[in-house]
Amino acid sequence: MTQERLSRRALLKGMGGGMAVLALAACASAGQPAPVSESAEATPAEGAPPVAPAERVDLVMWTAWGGQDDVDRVRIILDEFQELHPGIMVELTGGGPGGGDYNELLLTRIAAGNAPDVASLFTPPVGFAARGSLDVIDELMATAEYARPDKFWQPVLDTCKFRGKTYGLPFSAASYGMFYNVDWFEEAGLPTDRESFPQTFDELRALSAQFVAWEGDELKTGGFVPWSELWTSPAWSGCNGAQWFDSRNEQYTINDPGNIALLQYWVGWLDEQYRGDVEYIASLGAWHTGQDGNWFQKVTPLSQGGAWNTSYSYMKYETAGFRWDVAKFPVGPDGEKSRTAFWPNWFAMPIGGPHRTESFLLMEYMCTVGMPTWYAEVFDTPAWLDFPDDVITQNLIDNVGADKALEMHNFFIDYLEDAVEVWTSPIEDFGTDQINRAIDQVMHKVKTPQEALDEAQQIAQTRLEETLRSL
Amino acid sequence: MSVEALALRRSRSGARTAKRVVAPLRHLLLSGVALIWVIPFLWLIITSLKPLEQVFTRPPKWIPEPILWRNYIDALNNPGFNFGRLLRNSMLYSGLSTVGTAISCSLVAYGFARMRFWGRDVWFVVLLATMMIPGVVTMIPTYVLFRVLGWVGGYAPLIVPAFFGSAFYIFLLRQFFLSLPWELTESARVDGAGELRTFGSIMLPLIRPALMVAVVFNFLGTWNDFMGPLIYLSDNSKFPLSLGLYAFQTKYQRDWHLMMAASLVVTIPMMILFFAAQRQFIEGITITGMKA
Amino acid sequence: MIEAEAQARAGVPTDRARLGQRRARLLRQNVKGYAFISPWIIGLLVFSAYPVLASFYFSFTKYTVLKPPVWIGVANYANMVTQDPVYWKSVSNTLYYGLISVPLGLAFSLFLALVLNQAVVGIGVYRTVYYLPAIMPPVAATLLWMLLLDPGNGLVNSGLRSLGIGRPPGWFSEAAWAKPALIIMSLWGSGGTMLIFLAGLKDIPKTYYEAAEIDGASAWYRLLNITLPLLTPVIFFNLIMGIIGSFGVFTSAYIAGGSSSGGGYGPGGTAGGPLDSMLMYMLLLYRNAFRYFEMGYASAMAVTMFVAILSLTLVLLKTSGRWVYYEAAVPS
Repeated sequence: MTQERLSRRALLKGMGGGMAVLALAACASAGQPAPVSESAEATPAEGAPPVAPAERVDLVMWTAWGGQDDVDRVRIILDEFQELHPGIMVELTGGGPGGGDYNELLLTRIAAGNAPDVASLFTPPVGFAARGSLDVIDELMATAEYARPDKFWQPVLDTCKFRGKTYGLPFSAASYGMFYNVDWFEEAGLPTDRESFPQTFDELRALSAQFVAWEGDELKTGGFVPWSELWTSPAWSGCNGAQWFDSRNEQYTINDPGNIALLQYWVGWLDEQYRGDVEYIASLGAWHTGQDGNWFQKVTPLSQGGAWNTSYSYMKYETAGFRWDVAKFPVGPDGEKSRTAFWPNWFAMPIGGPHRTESFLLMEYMCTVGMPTWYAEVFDTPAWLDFPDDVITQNLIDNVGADKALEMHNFFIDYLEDAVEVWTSPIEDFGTDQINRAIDQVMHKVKTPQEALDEAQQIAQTRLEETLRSL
Repeated sequence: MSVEALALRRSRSGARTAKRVVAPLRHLLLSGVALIWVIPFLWLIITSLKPLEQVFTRPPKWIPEPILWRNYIDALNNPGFNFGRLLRNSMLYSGLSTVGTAISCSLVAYGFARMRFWGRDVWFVVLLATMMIPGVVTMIPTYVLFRVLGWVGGYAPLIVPAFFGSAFYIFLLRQFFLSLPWELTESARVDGAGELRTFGSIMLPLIRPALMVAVVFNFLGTWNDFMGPLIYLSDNSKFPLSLGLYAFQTKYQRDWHLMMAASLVVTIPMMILFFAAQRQFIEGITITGMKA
Repeated sequence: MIEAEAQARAGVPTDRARLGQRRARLLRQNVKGYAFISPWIIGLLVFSAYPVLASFYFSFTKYTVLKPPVWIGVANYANMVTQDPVYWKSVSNTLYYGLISVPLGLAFSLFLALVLNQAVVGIGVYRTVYYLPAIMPPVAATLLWMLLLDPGNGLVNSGLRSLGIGRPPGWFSEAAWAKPALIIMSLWGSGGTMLIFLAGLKDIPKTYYEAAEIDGASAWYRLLNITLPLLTPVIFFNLIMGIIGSFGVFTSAYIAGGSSSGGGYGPGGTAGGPLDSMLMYMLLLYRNAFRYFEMGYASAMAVTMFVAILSLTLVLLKTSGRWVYYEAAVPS
């Protein structure tokens, strides 16, 4: 009997262990009012004069940005907005991680009918819009103070449109370019100014060959690895006179001759400079400009990236250990001019929100006059045409100097004029996955460009038509 | 009796000489494998003490220059990582959920293993089946359900279900109940003990090692649970540690050094819990010893 | 119970009183049994039944999440096996992963548990070390392994290079090595399985070993004839859980696969690695549900997987009588 009781106590001890403490913690938190988050405390909302209840509108806004710095920046923009509109109270939910998890969350909420009033999107609004879950904002834009339809870069605003209606606003545009290591170019006796950078595929390939150095079976330094960043493929396709998707005709154009030729060209490049072994090249690490990339490790002087890359801390000349610059993508044999693509962030209003006018005001503010606050810290080039000229990302200025920073700012913004159509398919992610899969198979030589792109075309087009039928 | 004792002593002395050879070998093996096991963890600690630009270097740097203890201060002072509050929320969530799981699962497992009733085996198959449904597809209907119940926004959707059993732990505990001699319950019944008393005073202490496993697993599972809190909680002040970790991952850049520091900080309470709990397993030996 | 009833029916003339008594006892047994499992049954009805039935229904619909589901019959199932270019790839990836990682994980964690079960000095430290990986947040653990297995700058490949291997595996960036890399990660995290084995070992009465020792049985003999047979319920449990776990492998493939192509900037981590080598079943399911807005299709995939695992489990359950030894299986 004693043993029994002992063991039961031991059991309780084991089970409960620290549970007493936990229970206390539980009671403590249940008994207290929910602690106000610090960032909320920092907002002037609490100190602001009380607003008459009748005027007050409560909005919920979500951001997909997960990093605390990002969320804090959004909060600063919100504070500015609330000073202008004291009657609109915005509750910000951020800190949810970006990417797929955020989509899960947003889809769940939309399906359950309690979506936020305004939400930022990392995937293009057209997919949500085509399935009827976002508000049409055309008539609100027509009378808007800042977000007039003609006040955005058109290819970027097009990513918010489906069959002529507008379903959201671009927050940023962020075009892509070629990055090159200026110090290394100098060492190699090459001109380092942007105008001298290769203008055609063949020139770039020849330049790349200069940096490819094999030592036995080992690649010591590499040149350029064009297929390494699949998300830039729309720009490459455009440079070779083709595109992946044509929204006007609601038609995938994956097996366009220009695209087939592009992949054929890449395979030739792989064979000529990298001994035809895509996996070996991949196993040497990433070829992007990131801090874990071969660019940063000085294995390659050539890379590609988005405008946002320029403002990273590790891109500082002193951190990286070299100076760099940006240039335009080269033109392919079948192309006419250099083209770029872009990766925006978006804001949209899930359908059914009770405060359309106020939600639009908030969304408009984020994507226009509020955006400079963000841009002052992150080089996510703007999509809004009335963007003030004097705002440029501070850490870029600290790095390259004010003149050069302004010049880079203009470079990425002007380059948007030559942007191809992207992010406009209602099955964007599905289509992109098919294209990337095809490129992967071609570079692995599992399929020829013709076979792989034909197959991707057929799958994507079938799915597109099936989806359009179901709308 | 004395003959047996003699035989026992003789065989034990034989075993002792064998042990002299075997024990060091065993140690060598254990520590060798343990070294491999611990290297990734060591790398986590090293990474957590590095400046960001030394995270990826060729060749890898074993000793950070300088050693940045400050990373831990930075991680703990990250505005999105209010450690005290996150810790309290995690304790609340994991603690209550584990209490619920331990109570409900041991009862249900006992029912499945030790009682005979109509339809038991069918129910058991249903129980197994529920483990095989991927959460991805039930997430939306589940959310809608909790929304109808008005529980969204708080911890109820995450904690209350724990009090109604969890298939994995029920299965686990059932397997252990099954391995106990049937005579134990029979003799208790003969002594006139009720079913609940037999369960509580005889069976429960015997499956303590397994119950501890369930407790540790559940505590850990909820501690590291990410999707659940993300879906059901919207107020940052209610977030547990697992969500706090994401303050270090931005769209653009991963602050590897801070993330590794924060991961370690999040893991340490679990290490303490486990280190404390595994002593209970050892104690379990002496208790199960009475089965003889 | 059925036996008892049959006996009662076919049996020699029994008087009404005894029959009544038996009925009352059966009733009491049933009531008590159901009382014990009632928490779970209530939970099942309230928290599981509806979501499960809903997703079963969705599997016969075109359900884009954003719009109400539309009934399309078995089209999702038909598409899955005949149209989807990557469905079978995901099935074969998952089987490859499961067939290697489950037996390997079981053998390895059983081996560790056996060694650890001996009273060794510092046992607590060893136990903690082996369990450490399972304690870490899964996302952090995967990211850590991506650091370690980075093909260019990772610790593992640097080690291999210094050992004179000029061209170490590309791990997550090489189609042939991606799944082995995932399996290595899963082995590192098999401390949970080991823990269950340890608990099972602790449960084997010492007297059995003492008796065997008196008989002069060797350690090998004791392992084969006492430890393993008595451990079979636990092995069985770990086998089933291992199968369910391997079919559901997600987080590691989601993170590692996503970063290996496109520089890690793809929205979500559904990329699936080079040549779809890490496109696991759950990853494809997730992709359809939350990336392609095809919840109906994802539900069909879920139902199919459910049926597959359930049948496998039932087969194992049926055949388990032959090799799983339950002390309590023959009640007196």
